Amino acid sequence: MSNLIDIEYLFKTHYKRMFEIAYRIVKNQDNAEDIVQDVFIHIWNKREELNITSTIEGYLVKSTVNKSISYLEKNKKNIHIELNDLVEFETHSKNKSSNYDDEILKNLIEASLDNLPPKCKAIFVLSRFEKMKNKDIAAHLEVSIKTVENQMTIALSKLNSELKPKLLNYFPDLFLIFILFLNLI
Amino acid sequence: MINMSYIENIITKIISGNASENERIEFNIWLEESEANKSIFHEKQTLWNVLDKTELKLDVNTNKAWDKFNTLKNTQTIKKERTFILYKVAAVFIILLSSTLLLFLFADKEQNKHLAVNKNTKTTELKLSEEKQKTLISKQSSNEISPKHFKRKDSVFTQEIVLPYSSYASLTKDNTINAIDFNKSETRITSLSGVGMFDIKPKDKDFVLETDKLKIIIQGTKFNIQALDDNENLIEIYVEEGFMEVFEKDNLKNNVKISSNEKYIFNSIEKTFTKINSPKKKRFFNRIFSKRDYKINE
Repeated sequence: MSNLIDIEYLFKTHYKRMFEIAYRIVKNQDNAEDIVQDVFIHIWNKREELNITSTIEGYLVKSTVNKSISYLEKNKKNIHIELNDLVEFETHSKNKSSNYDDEILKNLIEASLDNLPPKCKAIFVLSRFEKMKNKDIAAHLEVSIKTVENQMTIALSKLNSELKPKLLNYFPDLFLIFILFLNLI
Repeated sequence: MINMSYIENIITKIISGNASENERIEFNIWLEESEANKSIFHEKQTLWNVLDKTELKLDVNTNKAWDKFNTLKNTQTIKKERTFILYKVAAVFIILLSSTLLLFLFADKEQNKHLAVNKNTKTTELKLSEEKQKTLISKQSSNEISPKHFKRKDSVFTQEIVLPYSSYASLTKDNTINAIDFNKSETRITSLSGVGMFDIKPKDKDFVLETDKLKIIIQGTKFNIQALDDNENLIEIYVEEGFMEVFEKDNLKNNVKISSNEKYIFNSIEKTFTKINSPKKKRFFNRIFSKRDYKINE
């Protein structure tokens, strides 16, 4: 990986996925882009001495997630979102429509995700949205499988306790449809 | 009875697709136990599924990002090169500074050695000289004077001693200044042997040169001094620039003021100062002032 062709191949193959992971965690396109660029710049600068023990993809995921976690930890104060404020503001400012419901629901979920601790959120994002297995997450982030499992359980419990009342309150129909659907299965 | 946190862990694994076969069996048993269990599971699964609502609709332009990466990469390379050059410059600067400092310290050591030790000086005078040097060092540390005042350069025929305040004295090779004392108001040389040519810079500070028979007060002057005979009965003083006052050591009332380009001869037997007309400019003399040191009692 010491020439231009390799870095270009690496970049063009993995950039999109790394960007999505970073975006899922930091929830800002510019910052996500900066994070991924930083990861590749680091690889470029250290190309002669870089010793990757896992796969290059694993290394990229690990670097992207770690940089995203660092970013969240540094900017913790700025990203905490109060769910009540968000929903109340939005429900009072616009008329409801189907698309708008989806938008509010999306915002509710994202706000709940943003309120998770950075590492917990990163693990949850990799599992839920990147569809990674716990053992792969553990390997990429260099933590134990037990840690991943615990963080996943914590994340799901927190999301449940935060989102459930809101979903029942603002989207009772949607919630019921889901439950009915699942019961039918 | 299964622990709730344990079953929550298994539920999470089930819905995220990470449960083992045994865990699935365990989960199914727990699920069939009650409707409440089913409700708990369905809640979690609904939540898991509802997260699909956050599907990303990002417009990721990899080529644009690649261009940006190239720009950043080139900037980083330039920065790296600049940093490397800066490090090199800094290293050279540090080496030069260290070398200069070492040279200075070495020269300073040599100068102190030179000032402190004189073959013909008595032990008691040596001690005095050391004390004076201590005074000098303390003054140097309080920034009253610059350390460069004690640099000394040797050459084949003469030695040039840098005096305080950018002044200097040139002596013949075998001759020395034994002790220099100076403070804010004056510089005093209390022991001199040999022929001396002096260039005294400060015009607002007295420079006092004491020989066996004369006391000379100078300000901003270039002058030469030498004995004309072996017994030092005749001492010639020539002022090249500036102005000076010369006193007979034992009778300060007997003195003469010598201006630029004037030459006087002091006769120590007759105790007279005689002006010599049309002196020729002569910076160095052919013979030494004395074969022994002049020792002055302060």
